[in-house]
Amino acid sequence: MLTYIIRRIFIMIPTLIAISVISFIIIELPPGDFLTAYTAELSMSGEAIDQVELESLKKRFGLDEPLYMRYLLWAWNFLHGDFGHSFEWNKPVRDLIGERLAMSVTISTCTLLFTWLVSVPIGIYSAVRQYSWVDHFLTFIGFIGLATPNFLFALVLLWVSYAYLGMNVGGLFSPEYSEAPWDLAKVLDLLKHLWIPVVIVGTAHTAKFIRIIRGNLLDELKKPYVTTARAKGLPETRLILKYPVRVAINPLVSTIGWTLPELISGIAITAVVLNLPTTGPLLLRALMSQDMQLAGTFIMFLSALTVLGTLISDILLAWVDPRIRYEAREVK
Amino acid sequence: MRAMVGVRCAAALVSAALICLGGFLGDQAFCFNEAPMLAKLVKEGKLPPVDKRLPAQPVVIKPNEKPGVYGGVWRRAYTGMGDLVGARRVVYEPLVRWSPDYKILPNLAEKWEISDEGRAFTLHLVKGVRWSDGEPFTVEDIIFYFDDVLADKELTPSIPKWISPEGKMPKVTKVDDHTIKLEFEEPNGLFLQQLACPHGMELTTKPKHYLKKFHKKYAKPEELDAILKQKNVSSWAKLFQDESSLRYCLFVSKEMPSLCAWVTTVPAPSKRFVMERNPYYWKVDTNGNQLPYIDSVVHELQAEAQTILLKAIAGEIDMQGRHLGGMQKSVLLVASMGQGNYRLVPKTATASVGLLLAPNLNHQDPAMRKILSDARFRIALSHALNREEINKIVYRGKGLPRQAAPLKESEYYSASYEKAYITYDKAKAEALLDDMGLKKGSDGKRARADGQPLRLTLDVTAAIENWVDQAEIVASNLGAIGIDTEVKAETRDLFRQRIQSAAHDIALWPGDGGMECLLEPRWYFPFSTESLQAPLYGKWYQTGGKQGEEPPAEIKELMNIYNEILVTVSDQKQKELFAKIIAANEKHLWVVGLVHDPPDYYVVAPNMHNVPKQDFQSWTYPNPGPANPEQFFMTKK
Amino acid sequence: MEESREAQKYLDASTRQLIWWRYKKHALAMIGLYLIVGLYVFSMFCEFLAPYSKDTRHFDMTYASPTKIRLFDDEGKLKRPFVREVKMDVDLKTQQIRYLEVAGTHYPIRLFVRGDSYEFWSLWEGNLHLFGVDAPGRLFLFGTDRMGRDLFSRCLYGSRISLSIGMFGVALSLLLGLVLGGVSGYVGGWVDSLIQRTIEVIRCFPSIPLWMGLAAAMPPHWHALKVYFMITIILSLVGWTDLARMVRGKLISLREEEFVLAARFAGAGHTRIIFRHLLPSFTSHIIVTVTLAIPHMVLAETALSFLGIGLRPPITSLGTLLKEAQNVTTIALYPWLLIPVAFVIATVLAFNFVGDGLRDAVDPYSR
Repeated sequence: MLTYIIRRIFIMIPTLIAISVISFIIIELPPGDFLTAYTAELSMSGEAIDQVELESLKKRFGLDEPLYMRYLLWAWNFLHGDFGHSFEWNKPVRDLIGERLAMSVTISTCTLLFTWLVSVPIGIYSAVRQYSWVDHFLTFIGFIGLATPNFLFALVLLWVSYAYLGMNVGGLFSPEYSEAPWDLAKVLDLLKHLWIPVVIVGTAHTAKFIRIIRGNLLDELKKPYVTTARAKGLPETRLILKYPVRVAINPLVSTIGWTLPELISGIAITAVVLNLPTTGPLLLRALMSQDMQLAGTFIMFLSALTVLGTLISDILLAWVDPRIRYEAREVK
Repeated sequence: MRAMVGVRCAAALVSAALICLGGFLGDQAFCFNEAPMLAKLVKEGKLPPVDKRLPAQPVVIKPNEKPGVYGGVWRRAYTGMGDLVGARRVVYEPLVRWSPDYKILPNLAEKWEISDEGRAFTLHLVKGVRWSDGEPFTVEDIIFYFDDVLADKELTPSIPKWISPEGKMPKVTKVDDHTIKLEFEEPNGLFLQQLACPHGMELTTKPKHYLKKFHKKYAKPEELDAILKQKNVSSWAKLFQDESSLRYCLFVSKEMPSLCAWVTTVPAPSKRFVMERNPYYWKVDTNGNQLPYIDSVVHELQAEAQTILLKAIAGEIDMQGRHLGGMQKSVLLVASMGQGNYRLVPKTATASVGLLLAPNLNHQDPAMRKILSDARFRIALSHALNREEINKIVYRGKGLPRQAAPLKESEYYSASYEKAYITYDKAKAEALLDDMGLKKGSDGKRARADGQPLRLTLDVTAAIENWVDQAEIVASNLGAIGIDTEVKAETRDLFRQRIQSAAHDIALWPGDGGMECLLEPRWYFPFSTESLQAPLYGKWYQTGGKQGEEPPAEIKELMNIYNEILVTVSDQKQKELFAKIIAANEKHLWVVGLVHDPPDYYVVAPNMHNVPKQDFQSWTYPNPGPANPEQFFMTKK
Repeated sequence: MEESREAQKYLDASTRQLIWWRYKKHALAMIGLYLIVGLYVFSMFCEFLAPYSKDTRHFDMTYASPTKIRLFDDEGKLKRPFVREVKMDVDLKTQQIRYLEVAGTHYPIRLFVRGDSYEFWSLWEGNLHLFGVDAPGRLFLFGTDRMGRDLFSRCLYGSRISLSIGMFGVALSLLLGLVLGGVSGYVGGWVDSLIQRTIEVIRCFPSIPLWMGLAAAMPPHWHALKVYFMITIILSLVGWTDLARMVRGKLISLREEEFVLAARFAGAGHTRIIFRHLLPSFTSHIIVTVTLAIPHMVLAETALSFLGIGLRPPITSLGTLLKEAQNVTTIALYPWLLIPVAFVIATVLAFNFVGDGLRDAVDPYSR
């Protein structure tokens, strides 16, 4: 088991390096640099930036260096815990991302839990009562969530709650708590706001889980041991919950890895609309304005999270299912 | 003679200011009042009493409607560091300022004399003004800006044009602690107006006693190194620029002293960026109450303009115009006004038109260049446009079809240019095109003289939806006279790259400078690379002929006239000269205006008072700054 | 008796018939199938089905709500469906637009009317539309947008672009997935490792930055059509990894099977083994995966448009239509502009139901 984990961690390193290079290239791909984006924004509000200032800014931001130099410098500092400096916010990247990253992870985790809570019962029900009208109805509801673009859902919800409920659903905190230190009241306030993004993003993913559980459970239900148990007169509810459901839920563990990046992307767009203090809006802005080091650091962290998620789910799976451990050794 | 005019003009303004001072100066029993939150600090001994903080003769601001009460939090919203422009507009304290009707008023400089035919400016500062940390504001601070910031090659590679059009340092002399004399080599006709613009605040945001520690010339090397290390900045010049950048220096540090009504207590870019009243603010109302009335200004960070709109509708914004403009938002704001969460105050854009067509005189393709440089072609374009349709679709019929001419409210207004060629007359347009030899083929599409089909691309920024809409209407109008036209809607930076390298056929952009024609002349002649009708001529002008392309005689003529305006002090003479530029524009129609947009709105909370009844919307006039936000006040709801 | 006949029928049936029977049992899947067929027919013949062209502006009818279709005239008599002439009225004080029906006017909805001219599939010109009304009556089933363009017509044209992006994008993903997944699974060794690592990197890379970077990198002077193809390629670049994994997994499990060994001993080449023997054995899986991938593309296209980096006007896709609708003003005052979302939902639902139904049907015993 230990060798398996070590081997997996070893594989992670080149993946992360590749991601860091790609993310730098991707951010650099669009023509122009941070300053062109910056001047463009200024010109929209009628302000003109003169050539002299532009040159001095270029030097100040180190944009006169070639790309690989900028990458190496950033990567080197990154390894030493210095994530660089955001041009746009004129702040060290570290100060900008800490809390937001934590928020993103919190929301993602809550969303994942929510998704499981909703999809497991639905999945079980629709497998047991396959092709019943309730099955169809529940699946339908699940898919509606998948089919509605998150951002639109969020915007409509925002408007409805403003216009008809007189409620401010944007943000994650009420104004009085937003700068307050963490205490119980603030956590409660957070929970009051948290459900909206969780529901919006969560509904987009329940369908997938329903499908997995339903499929797996259907397979299990056809297996001989179920028939045997049923023949022995085991009550149906107990029969289903005790064995097939447990086997059917197992694969959910393996979904942590690939669900995380999807959730974070999904939340990014929703967060823009709902004004959530997560990584999403900042990342989008950083990408649009080509705020190199900020965007690069974000991507690195998000990817690292994903890689870590994959690792954890693989380890969990290997732990749950010895066959995989065996297979891993064999492949080697 | 010219000097005389300048002095008389300045004297008139000063006496106007004195009239409002006169009300209480004679009253010996008068004492100053302060906000309860400051009175408490004084009691606790943390702050000197109010009359020690105020100048002996503080500047008196006459409240817009009535004297106010202290207190309140002014809630606004912003979208991040790039959006601190909004906060800058609230704290507007240059040496001289714009009056609400766009004229020059004294501010930190209480009077001035202009001599030597407009070469020398002697400015008298208000005596006894203090920075927000209690240190006195003197001529030294302004000299610090000129000698140690502007003259320092590391900090400022070259002198900005707004200081002196020829880019030369003025000679700066300290007459006494409160009097400074600036002498330019050439007459500087627009200097005072430039000082009133937002960049004029460069001179009043350089507290020498504070910034000294970041400057190589003054700081002890080991202390400077310590700061550099602590802030992780590689050079002192970077550090100094960071600490003193006008774009954000007042808002990102709690330590930065300021002369403004509110000073930063929770720096941007936090979720709630807070500015609180400046205990040393140097203005009082007519009852001797120290301003500002409002305790603090809070900007809440929002990811998107849409949520700002929602906040406004829900009554969570007390006064703001930024991010709430544009027809689409205005319509919803008007529609939701019935809930009583706010009222709307109109502000007129000082842009001459909401959007104009700038045919590229620097086109790389010689055949296209020849066509676009032909005045007949541009006039044909103008007649082909159905401006009424644009007005109806985009502005609900509330706009005004016109050329990119100075606005009616401005001193440079020309009725004939405003209405030139704006009639929708397809026949006339087609006749002009036929006359140019752009004949229609059998498919109804026109071809160039060299037989190639005549195709136009309209470059427009996709950031604003109605710009694309207008472009599409223009494209179909041009299609109707046989010009095959395509709209290219791009992101802002792609758009800019294209137009600045003069790669466009026709670019669309708002017609800035309908009021402040002299300060923002880019649509009246190729003034800079922002003049999309001829960015390369503009570059030629800006670089004094070193880069860009040499313009033809009729455009050089305009540049010469403008140069003459720059060295002219007399308003009257400036107007006469500018009229020549306008006349040339009317003849050649270098840019084609569409429709002047109806006013946008400030959203104003019902309990917010003393706000203007109407305002201008501009960059050079940083509204609502000129309306004295320090005398806005809020009553309890 | 009855039962045995059923059983006999079952035994005699071909695989295809079996699949179809199983599929038919899935009610949602059947609905999905009808929907897909409907949507594709709509989008293929949109020039003819749409009453107006997508760019025709009725500038005296901006933000018109869906036209009321009436069945009874003033005397209360049942007539064939007709509409009234509508006049726009802007309240200068509130700036709100109102539409007033002109009493007594009567324009029946007619079939096969002549209207805006179009180039059908860019092949031949025409101006015949399935239905419409005579001027000055106007029929806006879904209302009009800010430029007075008929939203119903725009939805049809938008579906065409969005659905075809889904198709092309998935086709491209399929190609990439088959080739790379196939090579990876069949060849194995370091090639496999390399491809697997690549897939891992792509999957770990947050998709939004990837899209944004690539989309923003497109040269600005590109023609709209080129942008369209490029967006398709970008979407499929992210989407092929699932397919590749599936193909690889299947190949690995199949390549040691007896029938493959037999083929190899019989002297069949790699290509022949892959295409003759291996691929057909999991075609059904591929079809399922592909069906489920299409709605992903459609949704991704709307997300790109939301971010302002997808297709741009004048191209009309469901994404650009939604982009135009996603502001508070629209939701509050002109909610009918949200109708395009119904097309998105219908598309995504339909493909998912069909995919699920197919999966249940083609793969009844093993998973």
